[in-house]
Amino acid sequence: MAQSVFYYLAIASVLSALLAVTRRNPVHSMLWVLSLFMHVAGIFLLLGAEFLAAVQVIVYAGAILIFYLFVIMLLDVPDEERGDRFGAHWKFAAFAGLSFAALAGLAHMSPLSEGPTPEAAAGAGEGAVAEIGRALFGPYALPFEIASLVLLAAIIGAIVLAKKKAGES
Amino acid sequence: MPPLHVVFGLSCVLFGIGMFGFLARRNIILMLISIEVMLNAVNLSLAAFSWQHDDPRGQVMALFVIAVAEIGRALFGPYALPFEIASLILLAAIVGAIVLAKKKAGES
Repeated sequence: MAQSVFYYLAIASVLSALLAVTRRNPVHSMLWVLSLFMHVAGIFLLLGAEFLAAVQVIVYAGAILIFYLFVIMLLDVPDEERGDRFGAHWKFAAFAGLSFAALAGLAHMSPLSEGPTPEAAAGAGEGAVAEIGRALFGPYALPFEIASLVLLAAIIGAIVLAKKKAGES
Repeated sequence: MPPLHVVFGLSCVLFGIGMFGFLARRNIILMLISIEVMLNAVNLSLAAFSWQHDDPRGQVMALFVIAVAEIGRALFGPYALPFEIASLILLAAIVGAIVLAKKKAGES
């Protein structure tokens, strides 16, 4: 059961990603990326990462994509549609993407093909959210604080940039 | 669940698609979206590592990845691209560190 659900999610996410990077209309691209994020959230659920799935849906699908959609709607979409979708070098890009996927796949396949350890497979998914909370505020408290500081710096930077632009015009 | 290498294969394929999009598209927003696809692929492999080892650290790393990617959005505009690239490089380092640590654990 879980196996067939996983294969559905995997095929659907690969198709959505392909459609997302090849559609001419940016809004269509965005909607396909939304589908990709939802399917990846489903895979996170299968992997016992419930918190990550929730963050994926709330932050990526909810906040980030809506933000990008706003940006696209503020731009002139018909103007974007008239030009070429890809640069002249798209064949090299396709080659780079394919060869990267193949190389990374080869590198991943060899040492890791033994699958999950039995005790890990048995214990996965039980109290995962509580464990993440304990890890975030225990051994990872310092990186957590640093991440919040960096986010604060980014907010201040965004305000400074926006202010400068307003003053110039 | 399928064997773990299928999940990693999916992650690699998604990363390759994102890489193609990033290199080939001409629209800056769609390039950023392609980077999102790549970041998602790496989060997928982090979650798979976390599942394999029954260890929440992989998921914690994935959360940090999402946080750093968010900074790119906050500074959307001239500095979004360098931030996204920096977060991708950090990601590559994290995944590399996990792979190295995993290999050593298997050897001993």
